[in-house]
Amino acid sequence: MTATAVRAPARRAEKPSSSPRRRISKRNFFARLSLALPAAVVVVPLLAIIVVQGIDLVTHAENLTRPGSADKFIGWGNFTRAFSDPDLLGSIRVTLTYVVAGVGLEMIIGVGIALLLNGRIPGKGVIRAVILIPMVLTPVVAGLMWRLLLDPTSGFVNYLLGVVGLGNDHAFLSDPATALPAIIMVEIWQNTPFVVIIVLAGLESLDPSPFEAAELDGARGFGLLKNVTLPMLGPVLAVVLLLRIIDAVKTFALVNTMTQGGPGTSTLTISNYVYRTGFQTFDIGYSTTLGLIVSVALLILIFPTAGRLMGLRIRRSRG
Amino acid sequence: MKRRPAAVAVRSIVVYIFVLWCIAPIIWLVSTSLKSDVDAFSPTPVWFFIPQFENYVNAWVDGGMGQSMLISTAVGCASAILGITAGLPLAYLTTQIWPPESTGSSRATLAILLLTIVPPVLSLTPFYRALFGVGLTGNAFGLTIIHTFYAILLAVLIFRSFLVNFPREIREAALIDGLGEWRALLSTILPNVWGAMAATFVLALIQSWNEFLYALVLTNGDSQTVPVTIAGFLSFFGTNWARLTAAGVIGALPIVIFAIVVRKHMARGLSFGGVK
Repeated sequence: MTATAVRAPARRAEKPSSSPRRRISKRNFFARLSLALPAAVVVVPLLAIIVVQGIDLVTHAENLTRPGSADKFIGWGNFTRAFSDPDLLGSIRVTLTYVVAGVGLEMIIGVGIALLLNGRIPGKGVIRAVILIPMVLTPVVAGLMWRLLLDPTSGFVNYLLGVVGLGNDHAFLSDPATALPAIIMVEIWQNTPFVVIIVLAGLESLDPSPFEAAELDGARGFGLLKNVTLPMLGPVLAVVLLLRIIDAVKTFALVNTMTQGGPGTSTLTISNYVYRTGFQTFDIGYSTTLGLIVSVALLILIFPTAGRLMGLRIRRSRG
Repeated sequence: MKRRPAAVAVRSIVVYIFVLWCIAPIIWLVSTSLKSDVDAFSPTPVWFFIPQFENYVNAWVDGGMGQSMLISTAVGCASAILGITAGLPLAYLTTQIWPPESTGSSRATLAILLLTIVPPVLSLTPFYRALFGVGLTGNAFGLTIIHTFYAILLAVLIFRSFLVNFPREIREAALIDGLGEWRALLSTILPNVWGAMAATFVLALIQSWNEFLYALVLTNGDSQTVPVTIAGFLSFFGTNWARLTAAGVIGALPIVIFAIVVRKHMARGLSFGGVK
């Protein structure tokens, strides 16, 4: 039931063509094709644009401010430039820090809160509704809101720190040492509820009988959590972790509204670097090359795991 | 599981602290939006004030939030509806006609997954140049096309997760009754996926509403979506926090209300069927 469900090859799929319905198989074929048509009408031309425009852009030194630069063929020139670009390396490092620290803490806090929420808590329905708000809040609004809260003169955070005697004039977002941690904190603030909501739904859909058996055997507290709950929750945790990583790697709006990548390049994530190169210095040939390098690297890192997890999910849901 | 009252109390307190951490910044945002400029900029918090609703009028009329709300609603609804219209038949094809575990179905789903993982910065410049070339930048049409693309990816993954366990015999019975594939889809599947459709619509709408990178590049002036207009307030009005936060509240409110109303369907859609 488990592994075979995914790996079973297409035998069953081939069967209908040898069934009595064979004589209308040609009409059938077009009817089936037409089901993919609406999606293909949008997706295929856009993919063609990515490929055709992409190849043109990465091989030319096009800069929107320099007329004629679009015809300047430079072959691999954009790539050699990228591989010796300290800002690219820097933005990869910033993005990695952002994803590892942000998503890591979201998972720890989120799973913890979901475990606490799974049971009798007064006001549970209201809690579930309220924690949705950070999650669906427009990231631009979240970024600006936290910029207001972290403001060195009128920010509420500085007021609170002043009240407890830790100084009330921290310029969190203009200090290279604290700017990235501050943005990561907002990422955690915004997306921990996502982990809570999905893990909680996962916990509630678990089969109760292993828990009853384990409790009869005397398991409780952390033993129960470590040996029964977390292993049963494994597939849900993997999917949540993956979705958070995919989303966090793309982060753009928070950084753009809070620091625009500064001070210097201390908070410049990949998306912000590509945007800055393409639409602030208008170096769009090079910008496309950066996007391509980063995307290929990301796909090599994430895609195999993601595919396996999709398989996992399929198997789980048939169980 | 039976727990002692003391344990329940401790657990509740930890959870309430988390809820406070989630909601306190929002309360501060809303309260700032109702203050006068002077109070909003005060170094010590002003706890008691007379609500100033003109911040909202300013943001809506002078700040262009009214126009942006129209644009965002149009782009969001159009892309969500188109995404569902294109995504549902493809999900039907890859779960009901082809068995979900077949090679064709797996390949199609992996391709959709691949496009979901690819960061938008790969396609930002190619899409920009192609859309600019045919006059689809600086208005909402190009952005609607791009958002429809992402809505389709979302719709296929969500519908697939709902349909993967749907008994395939029902479709076969419909075909034997002489229905074509499209009629079978409409008469057997559609009545069973209203929940998935609601989830997809809401998530696609939120995705489009909140999307900033393409919106920033592809729209300007009267075609700006909500996030672009709000972000623009920062440079235009400097530290006018009262008006800026009013715009933020206006821009976020429809999405927040919408999400809370339909939250029942969201967990499953959000995780692409990872949980039920």
